[in-house]
Amino acid sequence: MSTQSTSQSASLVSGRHRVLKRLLRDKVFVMAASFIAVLFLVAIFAPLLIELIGHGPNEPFRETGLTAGGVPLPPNGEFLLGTDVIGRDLLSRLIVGARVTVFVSMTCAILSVTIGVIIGLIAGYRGGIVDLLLAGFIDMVLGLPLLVTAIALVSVYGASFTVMIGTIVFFTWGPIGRIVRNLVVAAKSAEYVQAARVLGASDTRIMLREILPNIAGQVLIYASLLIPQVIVMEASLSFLGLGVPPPTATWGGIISENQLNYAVAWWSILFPSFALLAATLAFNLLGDSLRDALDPSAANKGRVK
Amino acid sequence: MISTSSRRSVAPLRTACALVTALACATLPGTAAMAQQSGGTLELVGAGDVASFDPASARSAALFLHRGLTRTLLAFPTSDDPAIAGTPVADLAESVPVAEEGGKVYRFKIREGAMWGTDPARQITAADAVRGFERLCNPVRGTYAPSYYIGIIEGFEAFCDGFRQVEPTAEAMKAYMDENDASGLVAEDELTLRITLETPTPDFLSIVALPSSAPMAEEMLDYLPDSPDFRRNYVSSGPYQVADYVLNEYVHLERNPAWDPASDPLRKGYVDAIEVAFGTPDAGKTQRMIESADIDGYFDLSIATADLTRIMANPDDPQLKQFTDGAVNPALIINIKSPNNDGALANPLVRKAINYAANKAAVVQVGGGPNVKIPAHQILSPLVDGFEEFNLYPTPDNAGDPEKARALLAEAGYPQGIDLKFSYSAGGRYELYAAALQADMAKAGINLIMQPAPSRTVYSQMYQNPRAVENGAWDLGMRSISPDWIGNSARTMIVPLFDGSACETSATNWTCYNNPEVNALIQTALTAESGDVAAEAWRKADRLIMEDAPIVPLISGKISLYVSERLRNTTINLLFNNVDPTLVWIEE
Repeated sequence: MSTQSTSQSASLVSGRHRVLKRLLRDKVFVMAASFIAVLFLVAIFAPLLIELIGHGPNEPFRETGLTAGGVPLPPNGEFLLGTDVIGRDLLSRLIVGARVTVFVSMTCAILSVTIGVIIGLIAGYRGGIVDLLLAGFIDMVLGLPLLVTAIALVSVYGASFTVMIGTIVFFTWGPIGRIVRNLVVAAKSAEYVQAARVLGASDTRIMLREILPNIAGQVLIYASLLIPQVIVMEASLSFLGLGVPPPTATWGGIISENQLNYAVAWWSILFPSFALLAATLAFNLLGDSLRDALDPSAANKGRVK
Repeated sequence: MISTSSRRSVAPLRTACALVTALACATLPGTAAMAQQSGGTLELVGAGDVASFDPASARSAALFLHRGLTRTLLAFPTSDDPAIAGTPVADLAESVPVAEEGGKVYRFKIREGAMWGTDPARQITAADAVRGFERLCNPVRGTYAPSYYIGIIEGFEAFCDGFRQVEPTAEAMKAYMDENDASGLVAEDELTLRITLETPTPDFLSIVALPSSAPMAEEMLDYLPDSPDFRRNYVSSGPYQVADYVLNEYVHLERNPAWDPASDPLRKGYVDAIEVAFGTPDAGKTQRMIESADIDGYFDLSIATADLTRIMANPDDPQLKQFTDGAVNPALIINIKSPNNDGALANPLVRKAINYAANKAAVVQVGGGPNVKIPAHQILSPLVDGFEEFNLYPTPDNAGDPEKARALLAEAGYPQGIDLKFSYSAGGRYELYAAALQADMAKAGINLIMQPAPSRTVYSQMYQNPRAVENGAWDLGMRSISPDWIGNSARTMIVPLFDGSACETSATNWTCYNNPEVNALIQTALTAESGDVAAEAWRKADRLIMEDAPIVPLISGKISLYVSERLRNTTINLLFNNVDPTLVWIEE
């Protein structure tokens, strides 16, 4: 028994080692992961960075950051990325925006995956009426329009972090739930599950200790691909004024606030748009690389030979 | 400032001046002394379709269209001189009537030859004029300002009370109007309308000059007010008629063959057609379209702050049109009924603190700078009779006085400051103004919780929703206080928001501001026998209201428009704040 477990853990370690080696050889992964690491560092140390810059994100600089006629200033020695529509430092606001993006995307991804996995596991494992009801509910969620629902919720409860995260999670757990459910249905008939059942393992144990570890890799891939989706959703809601209420800076909100100025203040649209594009792209590429490394057969299927 | 007695004595002179000016404008356009050319299409671009097209409920940009489509008994002339622009002159009426029977009776004689654009063309009659007034209180979409007519025209209140009970169908409304009359509206003969008022009303002729009560052809009773069919089949009395109208996309006006220029002292109708395309909410894009000569001007927007500095680098640019509209825009509305902060906003000290905390200079700056905007400190503006400059809450350089505000808050029992829910329209300039105010309010201990929402939502769910007002869903709002016309229009800035006499049912006095002294002054002004007495009462009311501080006036100033290089005679009409579509001409 001990020999078996030692060899199992050795093969696990060598498997992880192989995945890691494969990932580190992938330049795209390294670049994407580096960018994301920087993004996380910026988000974590945002207060420190802003203190270093010396310009509060919500503080308008009416004399040095805006002309008398109310036009923002381009990048210069004092404001490295220029100022926004009311004379605030764009760099400070982008840093706070990064913090919001990381916080919202991580919170939403964790909540969506947790809910999706729990519901998918139960639906897939139990089957029958439970599966039918949950599948119907997932279909209903997927059928609702995001923006209309968001507008309705904001009208009733007002714009806030809670409403925005709630809305995004509500719209993103469904696909995860459905994928997990299908994976569980396939895994249910696998020999190791049958074996566990014959050995008298409880349903909870089978779901959590046998099935879940076996589908975790695929869940991780979908979770990483969910993050860019969440980032875009957050930016869209903030752009439309349905996200985090002002003056908190968000990338979508910064684009929205400055959109009327695009002809005279290109910097106020270009930099937040670039930040948004880079973050979305980095998480997408990271997800792709993870998929390639964890499930090479699936990745090869999609490639042109 | 001209006293009202001298105003009255020069009124006929002004009327003559206005006519002369209109003629002068026609022969000597401001931009060049060259012969006017007929023809061409005036092309404008707007953010969206007009909220209401029906004259009874039309406002702002819709009035631009009605200048070309709809004639009124009296009208405000197009002039650069506010004194002329604010004095009604005869349009469909042969002359401006003189008040009879102690200021309670007016007789309007309609010009012969003024025709409806029907087939065949038909003379506009006094019965059509009566119909124009009666439609004002239709149960589908009536006037936005019933107080201009109800309680003023004799018997109109009873007529309207009955009208409100009528089933909202075209047939039922037509039947009601056929069978009922307001005693104060009488067609004495085919062309003479006699209007009897309940009490003398010094600004009544200005009210008659609004397009709301324009005579209406009887064919229009076949359609529900302001319905798509009403818009498409509108029977015109002006130089243009609706050729094509696709809701939310465009409206295309063509010449009205029934219009006789000899019967119209105000309009020339040089251009052959007027086209307005809706759906461009980006003022910057519209500006570039005008500069590249793709279109001729703005319809419902004005030059964005971002473009203004560049354009104003050449203040002599003949294409730049800047004018003062007389509005306080925006002002903060304080919800005095809000239960938040233990009902702090009911305390005048707290409201005064908010007045001191506001950094108006910051709002001026993001509004385009001191060349175009100035801080506002009161409700009435210099273009309105009764205006007398004062500032009850002065701050250094108008940049706010946080210390004073904090001291007042402490005196009121809020040394730690207060949190205020600030609801305003998202998108556009209000968002900038709100952002500009937020940081300085915080310095004074007033923490603004920003609640931006689409304009319609803010109005229907917040400002105009009595439950939202009473529950404290909002503490601060932001809106424009704009005169419906300039001159003797103080009622249009004060009554809707501050007349507390029937505030429980008012759709405009959202927070039920009710000061008996102010109400008495309003009553005095509305029923004064002379404009002088009215102006004095408005002056006092303005100050008294600001002492109560239920609002924070922020800025007023100029509107900046841009017109195409080919457009001539581009004097702005201050009723609808745009070029006069019936006077402009195109130089090819």
